[in-house]
Amino acid sequence: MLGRLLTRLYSHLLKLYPDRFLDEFGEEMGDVFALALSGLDDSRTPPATRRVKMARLFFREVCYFPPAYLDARRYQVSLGAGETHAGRASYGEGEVTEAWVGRRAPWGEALIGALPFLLFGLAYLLNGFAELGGHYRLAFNLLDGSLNRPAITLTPLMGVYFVSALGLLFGLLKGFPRWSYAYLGMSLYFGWSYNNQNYYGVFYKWWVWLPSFAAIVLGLLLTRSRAPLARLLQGAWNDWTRLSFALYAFALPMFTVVFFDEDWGVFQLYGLFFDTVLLAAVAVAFLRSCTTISRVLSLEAAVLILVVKWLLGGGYPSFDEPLQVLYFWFLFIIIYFGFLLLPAMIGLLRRGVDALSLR
Amino acid sequence: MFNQDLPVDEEVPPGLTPLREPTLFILLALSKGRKHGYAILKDVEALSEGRVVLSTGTLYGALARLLEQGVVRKSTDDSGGDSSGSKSRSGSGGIRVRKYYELTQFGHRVLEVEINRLSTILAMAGRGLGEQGI
Repeated sequence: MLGRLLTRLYSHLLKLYPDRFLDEFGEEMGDVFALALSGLDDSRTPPATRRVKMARLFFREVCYFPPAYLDARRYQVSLGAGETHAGRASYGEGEVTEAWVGRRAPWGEALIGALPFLLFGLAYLLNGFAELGGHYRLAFNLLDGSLNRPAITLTPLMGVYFVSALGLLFGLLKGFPRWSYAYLGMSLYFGWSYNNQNYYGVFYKWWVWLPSFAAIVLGLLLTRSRAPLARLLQGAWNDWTRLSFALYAFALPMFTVVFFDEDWGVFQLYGLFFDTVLLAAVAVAFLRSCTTISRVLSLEAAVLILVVKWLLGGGYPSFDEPLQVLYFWFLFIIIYFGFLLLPAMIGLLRRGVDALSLR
Repeated sequence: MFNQDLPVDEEVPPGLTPLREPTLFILLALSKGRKHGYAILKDVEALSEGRVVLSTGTLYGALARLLEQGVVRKSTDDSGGDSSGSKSRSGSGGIRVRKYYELTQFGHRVLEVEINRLSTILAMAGRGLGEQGI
């Protein structure tokens, strides 16, 4: 049971290695890991000890992954300037062709795409506990006797930003597959929304962009190729819903934060939990869809459900001034139609170019 | 694709040595004959008396580098080899030809240079400690 689970997890870990390296060594590595696991299957060892040894074997793979990845990446670069090899079974997608545009993401890939939304929600739930300190102060007091809001609020959120930048780096190394647009959007959200802002006594300046910037520079240094950036543009050109997904990851967290800040209802934390599950579920639905219309509808549905929930939950009356109400609807319209209109323009442009080139 | 046939007497290029500890043990494991990945893993653990336990990522990352440098070569034929057989059963139930790794002549030279280097250091350290009366 545990052996099967670890073998499965290992096969997912393998997919993170560069493609050409996987082509050369992937099967062997899988076989060696399976042999190492079965080598622990000794009837003289107590089952509990055996399970611990199996888990240690897997965690060794995880711990030594970063240096091994660098070795593998260097090997790939030495073979051919970091070009992504099309047609291999990894999380990358190779060339963005018509076949890939209509591709349904495997579950593993869909969950990776949903991860930043889940983490963002969890981080903000912690923030929620801090915001509602009056209600929950007792719980915090039991922990350490004080409520350290900057630490509770900012550390998890910056952790999510770090994970987003890391996802952006892996996405770049993998040739920007569809799931990576979630990390791209989320990284942009953190950079854009924190820049020149003061949160709990910390004033964020231009340097808040550094994790995103470092991810891109490091990715380009590791691949030593402009191909990943070309793949980003190629992906958006051939499948404009990817840009919609990046906008979703950029705008929806902001939208939920606006709700959160303005909604002082009793069910604030329940609402935030609902938003988190909704955003992640819609990301999975998007990545598991294989048509343009179903992808866009899933994203649009998320915005509509959020607004309806907010209106029904009594958040709307908390806006005191007409200007705030106007701002809210302006934001809604921008986000709702932004998903559709801006990226769809690229789709229309592409159709026009294709039609011209066929003449 | 790889520099498999570098001459024996070719100078070991600077930068190739000193070897990292896992790499040294991989070469030591292969110095006894060609081996497949799992056998290398077990041999390294045995040779180092459990001090160096390689992950598959570390092993194949090192092997990729060593193949590229022409220190080891890969073969898939089933002539010779170790006693554990040359074919393995893949996860899907099919039979897969096992791949072997062995030191090239250049690889033997690299290992020799590294062992000489370590021996020299050891001798120097011994002399130094002897002068101090330790």
